[in-house]
Amino acid sequence: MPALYYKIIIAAAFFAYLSSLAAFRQEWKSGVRFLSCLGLVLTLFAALAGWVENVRLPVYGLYETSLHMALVLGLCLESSAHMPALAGPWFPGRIIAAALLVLAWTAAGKFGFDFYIYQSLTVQLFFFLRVAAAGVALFAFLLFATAWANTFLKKTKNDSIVIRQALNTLVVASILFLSSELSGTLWCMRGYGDIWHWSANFFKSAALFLLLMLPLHVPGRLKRNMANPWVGMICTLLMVLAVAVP
Amino acid sequence: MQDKLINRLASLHITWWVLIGLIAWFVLGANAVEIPSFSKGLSSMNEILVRTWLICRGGDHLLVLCWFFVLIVLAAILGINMAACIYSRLMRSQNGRWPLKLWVFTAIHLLFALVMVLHGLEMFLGHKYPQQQLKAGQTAILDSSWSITVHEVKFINDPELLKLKGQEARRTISRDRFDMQANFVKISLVSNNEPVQTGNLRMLAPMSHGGIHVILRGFDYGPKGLTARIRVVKSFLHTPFTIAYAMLIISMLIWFLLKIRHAPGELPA
Repeated sequence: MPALYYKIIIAAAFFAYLSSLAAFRQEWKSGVRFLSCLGLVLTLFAALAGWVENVRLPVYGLYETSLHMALVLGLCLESSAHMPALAGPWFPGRIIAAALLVLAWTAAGKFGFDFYIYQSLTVQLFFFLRVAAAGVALFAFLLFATAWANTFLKKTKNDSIVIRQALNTLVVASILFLSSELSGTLWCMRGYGDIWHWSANFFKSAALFLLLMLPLHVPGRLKRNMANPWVGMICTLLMVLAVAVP
Repeated sequence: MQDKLINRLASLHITWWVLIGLIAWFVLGANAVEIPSFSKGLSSMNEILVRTWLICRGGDHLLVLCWFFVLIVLAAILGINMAACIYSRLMRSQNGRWPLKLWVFTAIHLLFALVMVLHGLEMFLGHKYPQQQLKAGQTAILDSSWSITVHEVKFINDPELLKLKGQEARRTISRDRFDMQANFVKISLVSNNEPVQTGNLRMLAPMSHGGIHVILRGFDYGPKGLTARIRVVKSFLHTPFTIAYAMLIISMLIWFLLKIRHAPGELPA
């Protein structure tokens, strides 16, 4: 498919998201739902078209990473849209998804290098699951930020419901990340004969996994001091940036 | 007294600070790779078992040795902390009800500990033979009983591509320029002069016999003609490690499902 078609689809998804934000401001509920779903469907269509054209799952690169992170974030936002307690990330989440689409638009159709090892499904899954984990971690970041905003800016009580949901989301991100790591381990075993390789990439992977684990192990005293949202925000943001800017 | 000590060792504060320490240490290691001597030290660690490396080459790479030592100390503290945590949970279980959620939560920690132990064992058990560069008809003697014989090196694509390195290779050697199925190396694994297994090695498709894994690292094309880079590793830990890792992921998934089931109306994520 020519790059121009990808640009058109992504631009349409971007404008659908922008319109849903405008509809949100106008309190036009059915319009919000329809337009945000339209944006998500168009993003999904662009992603699927890329998979089919390249006969592989997404790998690293500006276009593929930003498009698939926008897709995963959009899926998380839509799946939680019916829960009033999780309404907080909806508006900023849509803005971030739209921003990711702008990034994808600037490089539309420019897929990552078609390296020969992408013939292996294990290698494809390693990258795909990692980008998916980053998308979920981005949603967790928004939930932590919402919990922080609810508590500090609105001067309400400790927003434990949203924090609990943020931690649950973090577990999902960890599951996806570990699945990516398992694919990477299989890749390493078949390519090098080792479970673990002493290299910068492996150290970075270990640091990222521990970053995801940190907000799940906040001690009681720090929890009472409301460090939870801050720790969660910092860790998830660092994880997302490390995946998005490898 | 003993309970007090275990409770202290099981403290979440220790977990928290050790996790921060490990993150910092891994980030430091990832950045230190830019230092040539550190990078060279890591490469030498990858070539042989860490056990052998510590005895034979560790002294030549003091920077890596210090980094590795601190890593082991931090990992050991985390291990003790986790063991104390699991023990205190098990003790608590004798006093009261133990819901499924707590069982799964403990299972996650036990499986994580198992994965870490298998990681550690990989550094000390088995054997890594030096990488061999062989062409068709050549035999490499691995030790007094094991050897490999290369019967054929088949590369159907343009061999000039094999001269490319780094980013240039990534950009140029695409899927249609390198057929991973059609390019192979036919070898025999020989034990005490008796071939125990003959088969084709492909990229990311090793040949295994018992705990011996023969891996094709790549093809080379130079003055010697077409050669294959072959590595032989003796390790029985690959399968247990993969199973433990997969079970860890499954147990985390079960824990997540239990969490959202126990709190109806919450996030399906």
